[in-house]
Amino acid sequence: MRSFLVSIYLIFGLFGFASAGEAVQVGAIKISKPWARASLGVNRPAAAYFTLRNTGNTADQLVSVTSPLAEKVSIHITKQDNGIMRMSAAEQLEIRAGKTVELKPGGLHVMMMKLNAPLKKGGTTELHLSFKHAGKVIVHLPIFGPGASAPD
Amino acid sequence: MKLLRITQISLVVACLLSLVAIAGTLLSNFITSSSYVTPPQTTGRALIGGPFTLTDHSGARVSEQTFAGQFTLIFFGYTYCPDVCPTELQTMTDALGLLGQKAERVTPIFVTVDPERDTVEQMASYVANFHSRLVGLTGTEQDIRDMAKTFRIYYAKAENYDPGTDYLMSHSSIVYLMGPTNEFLTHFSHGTNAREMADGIEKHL
Repeated sequence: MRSFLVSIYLIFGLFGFASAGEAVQVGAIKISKPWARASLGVNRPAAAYFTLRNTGNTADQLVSVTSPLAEKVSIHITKQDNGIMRMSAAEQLEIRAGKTVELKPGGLHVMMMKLNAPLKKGGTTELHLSFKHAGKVIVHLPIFGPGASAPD
Repeated sequence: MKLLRITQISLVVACLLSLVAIAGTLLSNFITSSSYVTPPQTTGRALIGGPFTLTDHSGARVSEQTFAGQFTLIFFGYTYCPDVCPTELQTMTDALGLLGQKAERVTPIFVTVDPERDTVEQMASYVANFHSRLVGLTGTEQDIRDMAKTFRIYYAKAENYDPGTDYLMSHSSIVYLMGPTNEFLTHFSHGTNAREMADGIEKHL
């Protein structure tokens, strides 16, 4: 009985691990390469990244991102201006028909603020994305180190 | 009569020279007090860096003398920054990793431009996530401003933030390599990868 339970845990554990980081599709929007950076405790924000591809014929918008771990989540963009990095909110990200929008370090990123639990390296987390036309989807993200770069 | 004319000419020349000197001083003051500073060039002898006194992440007071005899790899940022700063600190960590034993001569340093939130304790928990020898420096607003100025680092609170808690900082993202007498050797601009940084450091070791 005990080994049976262990097997069940293992199977579900492996299943859970495999799904984090995998691409998901909602309507015409494909979300690929999702991942997050480990946060430094709970009083510093965490960052998350993914790639959005609009496979449809009409433009769509990412209207909201929420996380069960963060009270406030927003899309930010880091812009380099003569060597100076400036970060600002980039609400309602537009994904034009047939186009790809990539969130990656040093550019667009999801900023998760006021965390109620830390994002720990090696774990997984989820983000709830809502698109104007494609609707809602939950994305599972593997958590890499605090200074990790994009996965291949 | 002739003597008087020579005296007059001398006076005029002296006045002109004084004017040039005053204009020069004013101009140089204007340039150094300007808050907007362009990233430094590596050609020629750049006047970057200078004396500083700050507090490290263990609470000890440190100055440029603390690091005398070592090469230092210096980056200015803040711990509330989840995107650019961790990327740059990880690149520094990886670059030193690529240098192997040679990296022992280089001390990586992270100076906060947000001393209001980056306390000694905060710096301690932050630097622990990167290179094992990474030194975190914080200080008073004035001390940080003075050091940033000598390193030609621009920083300011971003205008569009939620008042109270969640402000962001705009800041220069440059990594400096300084020599054993705190002299400027080279800089790495944002986007330099660990391999390029390691090669750039190795040239000077």
